[in-house]
Amino acid sequence: MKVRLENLTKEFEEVTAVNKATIEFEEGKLTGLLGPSGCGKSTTLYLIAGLFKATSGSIFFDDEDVTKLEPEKRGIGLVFQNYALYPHMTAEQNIMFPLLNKKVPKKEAKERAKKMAELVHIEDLLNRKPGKMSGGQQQRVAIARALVKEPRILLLDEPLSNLDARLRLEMREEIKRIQRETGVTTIFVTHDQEEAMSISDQIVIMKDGFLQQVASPREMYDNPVNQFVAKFLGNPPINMVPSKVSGGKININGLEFEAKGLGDMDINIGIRPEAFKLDAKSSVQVEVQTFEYFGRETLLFVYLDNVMSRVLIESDFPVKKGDTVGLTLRNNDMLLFDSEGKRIDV
Amino acid sequence: MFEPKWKTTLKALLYLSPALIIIATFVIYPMFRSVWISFFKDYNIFKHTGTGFGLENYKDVLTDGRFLLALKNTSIYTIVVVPISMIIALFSAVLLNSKMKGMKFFETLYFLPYITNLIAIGLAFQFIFNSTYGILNKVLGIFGIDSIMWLNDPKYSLPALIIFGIWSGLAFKIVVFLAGIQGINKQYYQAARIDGTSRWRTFTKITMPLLSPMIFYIAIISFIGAFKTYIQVVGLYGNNPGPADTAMTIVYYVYDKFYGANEPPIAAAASVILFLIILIFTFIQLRVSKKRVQY
Repeated sequence: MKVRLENLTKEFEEVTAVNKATIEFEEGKLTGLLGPSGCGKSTTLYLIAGLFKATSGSIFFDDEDVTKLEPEKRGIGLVFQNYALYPHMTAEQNIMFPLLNKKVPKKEAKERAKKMAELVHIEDLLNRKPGKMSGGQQQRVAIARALVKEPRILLLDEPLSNLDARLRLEMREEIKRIQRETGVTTIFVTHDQEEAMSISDQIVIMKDGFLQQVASPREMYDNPVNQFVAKFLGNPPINMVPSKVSGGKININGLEFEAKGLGDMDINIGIRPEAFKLDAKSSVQVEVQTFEYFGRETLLFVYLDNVMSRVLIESDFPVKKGDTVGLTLRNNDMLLFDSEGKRIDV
Repeated sequence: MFEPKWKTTLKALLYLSPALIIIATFVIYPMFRSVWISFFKDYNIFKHTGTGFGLENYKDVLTDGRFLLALKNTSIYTIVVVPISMIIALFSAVLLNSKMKGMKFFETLYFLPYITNLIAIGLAFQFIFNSTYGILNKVLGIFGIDSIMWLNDPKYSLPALIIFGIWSGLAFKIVVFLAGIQGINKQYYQAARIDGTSRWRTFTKITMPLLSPMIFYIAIISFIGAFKTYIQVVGLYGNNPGPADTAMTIVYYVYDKFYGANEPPIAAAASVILFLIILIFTFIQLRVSKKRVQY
């Protein structure tokens, strides 16, 4: 089912957590709701769940206006950040609980719980209580509990933030797999861009309560609408070099580029660390200040127009501190932003 | 953590000593003393001399009709007061926990009886129970029930004590339950709400089990408290345990034997028996709670 937010606003006493957001979440897709802490992403999720009531604006599930509908009538499954599994019940009892609320016969509930447990791979943990499970296992039980009542939408609040690094990689693949197998429209909140990029079909990025951009991960990475989005996506992060357009040309550290149709103005040039290419003959010769070795790649720190910048190169080229390297850009790959941070199309 | 060493242990003992000295003087020493006294047929509590060492006193107490009456009254009182007051307290706490303006005011109001002197409350209850002017009979009168001689009719003296007992124990239980309920993670309730859990199911399947450690704690505390009921009797009846001893409790018996009849060894023997009863029941309760309360 499709979820559509129209001019959705949520004000708490002092802050406007969500500000006139109009977003469409695609049917049957996995959407990542991304942004830094306090950007309003969790509030948006709880508004969709119905645990928060909107100050103004509307929420539609397909064509049904659910803005005023109680959460239990919305047909959603919600997985809380710390899972909120009932500690006194076993995994099976936890999963069966929503069904028993609906007076589903116990036998049927047991069977459906078992099927769910198989889907999330916890069939051998059914008699265990949450206190005796790892974070990843609790997460799986929580997902099973949310899915067992066959919700129209699955909502996950920071599903991976309570897991250690290795489990996080495993669980994000699992969330993707479970979403694919069930085909349920899924929205998950995260502050981790890598998480959002790796498994989302669609990313919604927010900042200070305002929607920034809705796009596929690739589109968002390649074509960010503003400097904030460009900076938020990508690790190592994008370099931002302040510069000027003068006489239809841009200059970075002596390297000149055409900037057709642009008047004279102050700009910021965004260059992804991987957009650089080593070229001994280049007119840009910079000194390696320091570097980080990642195995396959090496990250160099150099000054470009007095701005410390990151340059990602293949590790087969040996470098050491103090070396001078020549740099050019692959395909003149750069993003231009005006002084307010808005993207300039060239 | 730190390894315990002689130096740190001594330091800790020094800090603890004021409390330890007071407890030793007023609790531990008298406890052993009364066990000791209970074995003498005759004992002079000022000279610490006794004659007739043996179990005679225990035999006397256990065959004394007044003690058996006190035991029966105390048991009835406990069996009725503990569950009823717990149920009322639990529901009051749930209601108090709802979102409402001025909640702090009500919390304070509910706690007031706990810090008020029970004797003073007893006086107020004497007025409530008054057969002619008392509000309780006035209210019952509305429903066509004839005026009851709460405090003077032997049939009603124990029920009156029980009503007073239930009321006087509510405040503490409500406050503890309220604290317990407020300590339960709100997300359980949000999850329950999303899953369409009815209010009653939320209470029985989520609140109650999560509150079970608190419920058992209160059960044990109130059980002990009820078995030691004494002030309630004095508050309602002053210097007699109700008409024809009908509101006699074990502790009142102990008090009466000590000061009234001037028989300290009998009083000591009765208090040791009370101690053993409480010990056994508390032990059983703890065993049961260990099995039932776990997550």
